[in-house]
Amino acid sequence: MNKKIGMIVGAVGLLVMMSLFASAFGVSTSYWDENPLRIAPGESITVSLGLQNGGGGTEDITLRAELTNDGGGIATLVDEDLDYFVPVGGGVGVPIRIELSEDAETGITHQITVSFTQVASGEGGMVRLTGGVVSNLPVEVVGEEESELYTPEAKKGLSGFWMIVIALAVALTIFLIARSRKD
Amino acid sequence: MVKRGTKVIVFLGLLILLMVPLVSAGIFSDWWGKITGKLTEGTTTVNITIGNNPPTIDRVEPIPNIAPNEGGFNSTTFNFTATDTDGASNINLSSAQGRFQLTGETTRVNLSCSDWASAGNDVNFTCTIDMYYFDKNDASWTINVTVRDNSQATAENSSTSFTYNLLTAMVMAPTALGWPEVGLTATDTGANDNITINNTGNDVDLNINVTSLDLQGNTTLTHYIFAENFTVENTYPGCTGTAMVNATSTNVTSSILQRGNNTLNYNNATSGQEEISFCLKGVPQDISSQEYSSIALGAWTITIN
Repeated sequence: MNKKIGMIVGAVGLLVMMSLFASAFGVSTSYWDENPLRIAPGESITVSLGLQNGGGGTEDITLRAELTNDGGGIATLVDEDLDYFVPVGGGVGVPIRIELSEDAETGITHQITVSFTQVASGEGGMVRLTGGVVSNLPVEVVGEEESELYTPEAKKGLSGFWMIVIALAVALTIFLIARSRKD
Repeated sequence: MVKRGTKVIVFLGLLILLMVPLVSAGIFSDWWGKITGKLTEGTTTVNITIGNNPPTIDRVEPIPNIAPNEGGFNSTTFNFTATDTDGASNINLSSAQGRFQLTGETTRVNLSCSDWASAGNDVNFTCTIDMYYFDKNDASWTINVTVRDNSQATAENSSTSFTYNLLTAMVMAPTALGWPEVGLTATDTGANDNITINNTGNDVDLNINVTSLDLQGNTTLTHYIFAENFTVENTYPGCTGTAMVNATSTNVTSSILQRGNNTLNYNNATSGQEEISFCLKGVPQDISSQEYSSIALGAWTITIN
């Protein structure tokens, strides 16, 4: 007997209606394989992935973030609530904290992976489809001077406070010498 | 007594003093002209060419990282300063152009950057250039600016660059799958619609993965059509494609998503599009006739990475 399996029938109208709602979203980043984030051992930084809901999207969406690869324990998602509401035509930042230990090995590139999955907006009478985007964030461990956080002032090791102290000491010395000669 | 030599010197001195004004007044040349008939004055054209100083562009405003706008364009405005030592008025205000350049990529250009301020020898121009979502991500897009002066001398500056970020993005349609009625003995039934996936960013070589879940009967909840009963590939009806695995991200091995201008609508890599087809290979033989759906166990997920 050819028993009918009435699967997902009678829903053509609903299918057409749902097709009008396109889900469009993306994740932008300043770092990729050929342009990794470069930081030195002992340094930490918070970078942001940019969620977008554009590209012809017609409805607000919620994206659920998951850190699927923490790069060997160097990355954490900063926010407690990892469901990000992204209005149509809008954008949201997802902060990621990167911390390298003092003994991190230079020359190594850590791969951090964050996946974003659209939270289904409701029930459907058929096979509902949602979208997902995976974003990779490479982090290369480099020497201090190659780090994105490096500044020449940091290399000198003189804070503004100590520079002022030294300037005052020099001025005081000159004043005392001048006064002793006068006497 | 004054010596005779001294007198001569004094005389000659007085004579010179007397002659100088007469010579400079042209009295002698007029007199000589009247005697000889030679021309003593006339009109002639003298051309004096003063060299033009070409303009220079010494300052181009840095542009911070630009994130592509998903499926659209990003208008970036920046300023640059042109200098002409012959004066700002010597700069052709309608000649300023800006370009974003990267080898192998379409140059994005504004051929009519506008002037917004002028002072001394400087003219500040402002320029807006559109970058599209499918333009390549790169850390060295060159900012090229040019301007001409009124003598057609050109100044050019390509010394600065900017980073165009990576955008991994997609839009798919439709967002649901349906099949016609199938019987227990039916095999290889394609879904009613293909799923079109547009790359609305600039990422390349993207894998397409599908996470399928078993479908539960809407009426008899103990009956299922399993995820393993479905296959997917990039040609209709998709019945020779990759078999799904319940709750497991499965790569659609026949599909790779590239970047491209979706509006070309070629449904291929050139236009940054992929079509995938789902096939129901068959159904378990012990299930009842009813509707099966993803309501209970959840939606299927199509992921790009």
